[in-house]
Amino acid sequence: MADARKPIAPNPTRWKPSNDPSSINVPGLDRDASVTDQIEQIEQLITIKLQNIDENFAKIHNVLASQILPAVKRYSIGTEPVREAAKFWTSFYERAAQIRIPTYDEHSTVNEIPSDTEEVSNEEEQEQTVQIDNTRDGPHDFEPSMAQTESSFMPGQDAFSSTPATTRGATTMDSFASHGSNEPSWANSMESPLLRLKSEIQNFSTDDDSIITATGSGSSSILQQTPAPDRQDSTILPPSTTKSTGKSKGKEPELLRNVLRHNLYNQSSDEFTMKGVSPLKPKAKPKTPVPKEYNPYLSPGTDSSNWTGVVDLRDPSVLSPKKYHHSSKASSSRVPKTPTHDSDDDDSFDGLPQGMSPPVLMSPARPPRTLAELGLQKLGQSPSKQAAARIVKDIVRDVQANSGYKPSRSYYGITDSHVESSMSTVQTPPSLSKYHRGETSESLAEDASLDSMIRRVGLDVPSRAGLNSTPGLRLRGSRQQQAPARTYSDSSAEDSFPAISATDQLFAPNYMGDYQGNDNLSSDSDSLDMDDEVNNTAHPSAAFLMASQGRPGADDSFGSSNHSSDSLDEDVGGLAPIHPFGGTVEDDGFDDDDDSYDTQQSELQEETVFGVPPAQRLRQEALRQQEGLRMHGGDLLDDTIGVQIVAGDLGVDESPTPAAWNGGSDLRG
Amino acid sequence: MENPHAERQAVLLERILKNTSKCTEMILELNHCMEEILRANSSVKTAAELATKYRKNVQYNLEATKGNLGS
Repeated sequence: MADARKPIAPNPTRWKPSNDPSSINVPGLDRDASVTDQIEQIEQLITIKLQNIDENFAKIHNVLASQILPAVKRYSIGTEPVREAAKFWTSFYERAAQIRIPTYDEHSTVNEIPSDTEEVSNEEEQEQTVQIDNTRDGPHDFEPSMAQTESSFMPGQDAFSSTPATTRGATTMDSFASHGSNEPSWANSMESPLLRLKSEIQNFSTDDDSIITATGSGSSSILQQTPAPDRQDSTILPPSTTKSTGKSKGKEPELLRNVLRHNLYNQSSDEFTMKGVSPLKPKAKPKTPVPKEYNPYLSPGTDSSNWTGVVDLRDPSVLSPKKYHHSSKASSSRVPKTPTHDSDDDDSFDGLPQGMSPPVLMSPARPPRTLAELGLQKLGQSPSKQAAARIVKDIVRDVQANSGYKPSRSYYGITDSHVESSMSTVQTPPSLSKYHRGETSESLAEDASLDSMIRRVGLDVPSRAGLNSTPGLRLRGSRQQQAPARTYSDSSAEDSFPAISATDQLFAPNYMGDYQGNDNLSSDSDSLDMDDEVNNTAHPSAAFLMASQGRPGADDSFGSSNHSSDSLDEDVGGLAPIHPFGGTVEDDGFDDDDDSYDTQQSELQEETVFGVPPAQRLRQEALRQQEGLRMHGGDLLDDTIGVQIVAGDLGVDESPTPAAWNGGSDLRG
Repeated sequence: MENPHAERQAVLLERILKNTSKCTEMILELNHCMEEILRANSSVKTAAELATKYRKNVQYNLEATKGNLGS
């Protein structure tokens, strides 16, 4: 092989001691100098040689540590997928042939003969005659099982024929990585179960034909035909000999275990399934399936067939696999009848319940959910809410289709007078800026939004100090009977948080045309990103209206938070465009017409709590200006947009008016 | 007289000893890694052999059945 390294100089010839001083030839020595000087020179030569030796060793150590070991470790890491795939495929073939191929880690032996192989045994006989050349054993009969043919690949038997005696010695000596006899011979593990059994039996010498028949009725005849005598010794030391000291001692329990295991596999072979097995999903080598009654998570009396497979691990009453493991292990002393013990032996994942592959930890690729999000999701699980969500989505889609982003531009780019109403039409998706903002405001907003959500749902919301708006709000409720639980947009702000569905739910009730609550949204929805496609407030569908009418306007006086900014108001008689903020601004029972004024006042209130006045103001003005479409989700938008403006953080890439934002922020300062 | 040489050589010998022991440990570690790799590769080898055998068997059987069909 081409070697780019510099050639290693051959060692100088070894110095041979000689009694005759004159015959000694030291290369660096000056023979003419005096003896003392020569001695000095020799000493120096010695020192130099020692130095060289030390240097070489240091170099070796360096190379080893810096290059070789890391490379080897990289290799092992790199080949990990290959190993996983190999595990899968071996299990695949095992299941196909219904045999068990022991890996190096396993100490069990293959002990079952695949039934189908018996059928093709005749054909395989002929085929295997071809392979006879590959086997070290000369022309003898083959074995029907596929695993047996692999024995020809055993390290000591690969593709060449050697005398059985030598190979026997080689295989017995040939333990994996040259371990002692205690370790299972890797080569031996490759033996087919039939061969092993036969050898064991023959080693026992005498009778035990009954065992042969027990292990494989179909293969018994074949067993006797197989030329195993040559391979006996290799099978004498099955991996399980680690448990026994001597050969003879190991044979009997091995045979017993083999027979029992064989019976076991015969019984459990029907449980093999290939479901969910794929080479692309590497996992631990699948073990034989465990009968259902060994489910560790089931309480003893329950029917295993009723188990949905979902275990609530938070429940301490659920049996941990370890417990079950131990409880079953206690009985392992008996003759193993259950797969648990075998699997314990076999399983390289001790401690797991039988039949369970090692847990695969998966990190969800999602941002962490906020409490509000979780709460919203919990709340939003009723079918009505889902329907409302769907309705809202439809509305949003309609709005987006009909209205462009122009209003939003005007909203942001123009004076305040235009602002308010355009908020409703802003169709930019909710920005994620709320995630980045300080948590405090968000938490407040979250709470508020949660409340508003609850209100929208029509539930009783715990009164929240500081959020209650003026009593006028409550009065308004009577006015807005069309607007059922308009909740309160605070929550709408939050709605956009986790999922559009949640926001939809929040907005849904708002579509009833309540123009109030814009302030709420604006104030509360700091975190609301109305920018998103959730422009729910635009055109509530008739269905939505119908649905929302079912709920009486539960006015929760929540100060800022509760006004559903959706301002779906009387305008929403049918599908008429709704001014989201028309009148929404008033929180406190102000008429819709007084939006602008009201919002101011309400804003003040809201400001104290949620502090996004500019957005509200803008919204109000926009509402005033706009006759057409309004975005009802403006409340939601308010906070986000307002906050963005105030903070100068325009992280909303989706905003159609990024430039306007900048301009707007300048205006409002 | 030879003391200076002896001292120097003793020091060098110490260093040699230290380096040698370190190298030995590294080589032992290398052996362990190789063993693990070898162990892991055995399953790969098994899978490969299984696949080979399977293919051979399938091919043989196909030909056999083809012969049966033909005849």
